[in-house]
Formats: sequence, structure tokens, C-alpha cells
Amino acid sequence: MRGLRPARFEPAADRQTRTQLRRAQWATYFPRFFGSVQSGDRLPSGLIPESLDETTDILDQQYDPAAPNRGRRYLVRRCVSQMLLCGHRPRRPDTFGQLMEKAVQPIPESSSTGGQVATALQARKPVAREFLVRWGEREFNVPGPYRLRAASIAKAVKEIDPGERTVSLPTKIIHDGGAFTFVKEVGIRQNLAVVKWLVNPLNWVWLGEFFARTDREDGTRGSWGDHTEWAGVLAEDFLVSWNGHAMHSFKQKLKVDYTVEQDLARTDYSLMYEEDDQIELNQGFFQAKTIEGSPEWIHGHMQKTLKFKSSLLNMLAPAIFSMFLDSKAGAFGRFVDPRVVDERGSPTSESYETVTAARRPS
Amino acid sequence: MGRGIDTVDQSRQELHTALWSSFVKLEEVNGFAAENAPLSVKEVVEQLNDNMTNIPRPLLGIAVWSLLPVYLADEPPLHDLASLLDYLGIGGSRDAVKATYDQTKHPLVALARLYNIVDYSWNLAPHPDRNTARARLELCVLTPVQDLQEVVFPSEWPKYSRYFWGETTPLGASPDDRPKGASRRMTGDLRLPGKKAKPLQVTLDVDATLGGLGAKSTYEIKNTPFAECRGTLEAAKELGRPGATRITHERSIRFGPQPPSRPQVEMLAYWLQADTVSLVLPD
Repeated sequence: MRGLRPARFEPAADRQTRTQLRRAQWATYFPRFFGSVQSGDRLPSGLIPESLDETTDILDQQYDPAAPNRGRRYLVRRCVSQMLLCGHRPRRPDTFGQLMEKAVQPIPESSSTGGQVATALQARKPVAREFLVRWGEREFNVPGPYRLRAASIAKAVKEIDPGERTVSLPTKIIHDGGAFTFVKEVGIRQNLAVVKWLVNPLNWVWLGEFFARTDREDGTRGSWGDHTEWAGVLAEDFLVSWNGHAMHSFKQKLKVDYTVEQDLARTDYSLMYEEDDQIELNQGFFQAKTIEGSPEWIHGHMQKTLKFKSSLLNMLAPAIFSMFLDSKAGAFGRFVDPRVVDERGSPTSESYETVTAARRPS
Repeated sequence: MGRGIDTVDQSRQELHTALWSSFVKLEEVNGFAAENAPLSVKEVVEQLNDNMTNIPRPLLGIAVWSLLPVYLADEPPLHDLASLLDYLGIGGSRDAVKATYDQTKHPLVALARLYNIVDYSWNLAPHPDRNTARARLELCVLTPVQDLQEVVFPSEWPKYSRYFWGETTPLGASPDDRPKGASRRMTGDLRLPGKKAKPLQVTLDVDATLGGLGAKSTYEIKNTPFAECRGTLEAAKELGRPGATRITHERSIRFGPQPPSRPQVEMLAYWLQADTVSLVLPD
């Protein structure tokens, strides 16, 4: 298949982790869009996703709410709630149950309180499943089979996650003229000054596992906190890992325009070309804007219109780009957490190494 | 960048009137006062054919397109637009022109390839006050906002929209205090179309803003023959299209105590379209 190539341009030190996280996400988005894995038997074998049991193991290994990788909570929560919404029947219920509990645990304020929170959650074990289903229904707008006791779950959400700082709306997908338009909106409780640098396309490499490179055409890279306006050409390498054996890379040159205003940061982008000519259309914007009347909240808005050359990739596009935009929104949300960045947007000492090491381009 | 022509006032006023008359499209002109009378279609076509190279191409384009229903109505056509269509690069057989016209009712679509117009919309929007006519034109062009935003400020209009605007003079403010939310008042020479129409010295009250995403002005034009004339003109970076700018121009006119007549609405349509394309598109 065209475009399959080793991810030689990924940061070597963290390549395996990033690949695993991409595989895990694809394994949970694929069945939500296309049914069970068995329905994928008409796909080329390289595109068939991992089993959800393997995915459970990957997520369990890659996430510990009390460890520095706790920023992956949103990713894990997305994956686990989708497995539930797809009716996943785990072969090892204990492992899956343990992962569900981890996915609903709040990020501890410090490592010493982490244990206390975990202990407290033991008493609420039965609500983890319901919480994740309800959370997933809200997140993905999926009508679920569960009759939830709304009041009790709302109470549980409040108890479990009082520090929630991100409200995400379901990704909208519009199909028109052979192209797909994806829209993702999030509300984020944070000051714009803290996160506007993440809207700078040079810093998109920090926003999730799918970006392998986001540099200027001449190779100049972004840096933490850099929100200098610019317009020009962005070299963006974007990866999708279908499973443990195959991945797809897209090496794009995008025309971009990054604007910063007092109450807004926005990047407009459009495709100039993709090195292997796999993409016909890719344009959109990424905007963070202070919500009028609520200066402590930001409205994050992402929109992308895309068309592949390949009909197979176009068929998969809704799943790929829902996964991608959810990932980008989730990663954006990580940087608003006071346990990841301080009030000025600088990384906290505890988070810095973890958050940056995995994201720093090689 | 030159946009507009510099002919003597009289001939410019004649061409101005001819362009407007292409919107009115009257075979016989009756019942108009001399100062605001249009030309008949026959006179319009003659004027345009005789002066095609002197008229800014975008203005000629919207005029010829407005005349197409007349051209296409009869076989053989009563009025010959073939040379004008060829000059504009949208010619061909009459059937081909008809097919293009049927597909794209708005002239800016037909002119799009000449001017890198990637999107447009035009409407005569209803106004809550039935005595007021309102029109709105949106154009998205492949020009960076930095190169276009100055046209938003009325003080720049005489440079580009020469058919309508003579010099403007600021009142009570220095000429360079325009941007960043400035409110200002100025006088200007407004030339409305009409065979014998004279320039009017009007007053403009303008609120203008300029920022990283573009510029916007809200204006009211006073001392006109109309009871009220207001508008907004904005040049903004187009969402999701780096290097492109969306121009949005809306204008409303209350002509008097009655609902506007068809020629009055056509005057607003011509004024808004001609003003905007003159400001935005090169000759």
C-alpha cells in the first residue's frame, strides 16, 4: 500500500510509546465507525486494528493515574468508553475492570494524595462503568443501550472529577462533494494567554501522537511558549498506526497563517501538496478564543475539510479524523491543567520532563 | 495599483450613468427628473461599446452581465453585446453565453477566474423598515488582508472608487488617526449616477477598527438626497484559507417616506456592487 513506511522521523526515544498509543486509539475508533473487528475482513490485512483485549493491555501499561504519564487520562477515557459503547466483552474482565477504574480516577494533586484517591474509589467501583458510558455518550453523541440513573451518575461525576476543566462537544462530520468536513469544539477553563502558543502550528507537535513533525519549511522549530505571529509554509508529518505492523505517513506542506489578538489565537491552513500525492484537499483552521463575558473560559474550535485521493482512505476518513481531532482537543486540554502548567503557562517542574520529553521533536 | 479611470468629469458621469442604467434596463426612459434619469438600453450598449477600454474591467463586467437577459431575450438579439463579452473574456457563441448565464446568475461568478474570486454572495436583504432597502455583497478573494484592509476606510475610497467618490476631507482630526477604533467625521464629494446629476458634498461619520484579523468600518453618509444611508464594510482574513480575504459590504438606504421604487433599489444594487468591486478588484 502506498505511503507505508517506517516512522524514521519520529523521536527515537519515544517511538514505541507513541506508536502504541496511536494503535490503541485506532483499535477503539474503528469499531465505533465500522462495527466489530470481524467486519474489517474486507480491508487489506495491514489495516485491521488490534483486538480490544490487546488494546486494553497497551492502555493499562501506558497509563498510571499516579505517575507522571497521567496526562493521558483523556486518551484512556476516550478509548475505554468507546469500547463500552461498542459492547466490548473482555476476555479478562479483571484487567478491563482495572483499566476502567484507572480511567475514572482524578489526577491526584500530588503523589501523596494519589493513594488516598485510589482507596476512596474502591468504594465506588460499580459507578466506573456507568460513568464511562455516560461520559462517552456525551463525548461522542452515541445513543447508548444503558438506562442510566442520571441523577446518581451526575453526582458521581461531581465526586469523581470535581476538577474537570474541559468540556468537549461531539465531533461533527459533514460529507459534501466527496470531501469531509470535521468540526470539533471544546470549552476550556483557562486563560488564553496560557495556551495561545499551542495554536501556533509550529507547536502542534506537542498536541498528540499523530504529529511527528511540525516545522517551518526551512526546518525551524517551535518552542514552549512561542506565540509569535507568522505566515508561511509548514512541513507537517502526520502518522496513523493501523496496528502493530503497519502505519501510514502523510508528509504535507501546508500554507499557514497564525494570528494572535488580545482575545483570540487562530491558525488558518491549506494544503499545498503531500509528498506522495495522497491528499487532494486539506484545509481548515484552529482557533482559541476567550468566551465573551467569561474571561476564564476559552472556546476552542477546530475545523478541517479533507479529501484523500484513495477511495479506501476516504472510507476510513471519518474514523481517522474524529480520532485525530479528539486527540488534538484532548492534548490541548492537558496544557490547561494547573498540574501540568502554572498560571503563566510554564510547565510545572514535575510535569515538564514527562510532558515535553515525549513531544519534543528529534 | 491603479483601479479606476481619470477622464474629464462629464464623460465620467456619462459612463457612470450608463453603468447604472445597465441595472435599470429600460427600453424607454420616461418619468424621471433630468438629474437622475438613466439611459435607455440602446444608449447604454452604445456607450459601453464605445468606451469599453476606458471603463474598469470589473465595472464593465457587472454592467454587461446585468444586460445579458436583454441580450439573450431575442433572436437575433436586439442589442449586440458580443464585442463586450469577447473583451471581457467571457464570450463565445450565444448558446454558450446563455449556458454560462443560466449556470451562474451572478456576474462575479463569471468574472471569478479573472479576479481570483473564490466565493461570493449577493442579496437584497429585507429590512425591518419596509421603506428601507438593504443590500449585502460578500466577496472572498485570493489577496492577503494586509493588501486590502485600507479600502475599508472611507478616506481611501476616492483612490479606488472614482466614479462615486471625489476627495474626502477630515473634520477635526488629523488624517492619520484613522485606525485602531477611531471615530471620525469627514466631508466627501459623492457622485451619484444620472444624466445631469451634480456632485454632492456629504458628511461621513465613521467608526473604524483595525486588527490582526482585518479591518472594519461602520459609516453613516449624511446630507444626501436620502432620508438615511448607513453601511458597514469589513475586510477579514478568511477562515481556513490562508492568504484569502473576505470582503463584506452591507448598505441600507431609506429613500423617503414610501417603500423604495425598483429604480431606487437598482441604484442601491449598482452603488454597492460598483463601489465594492472598484475597491477590491484591480482594473
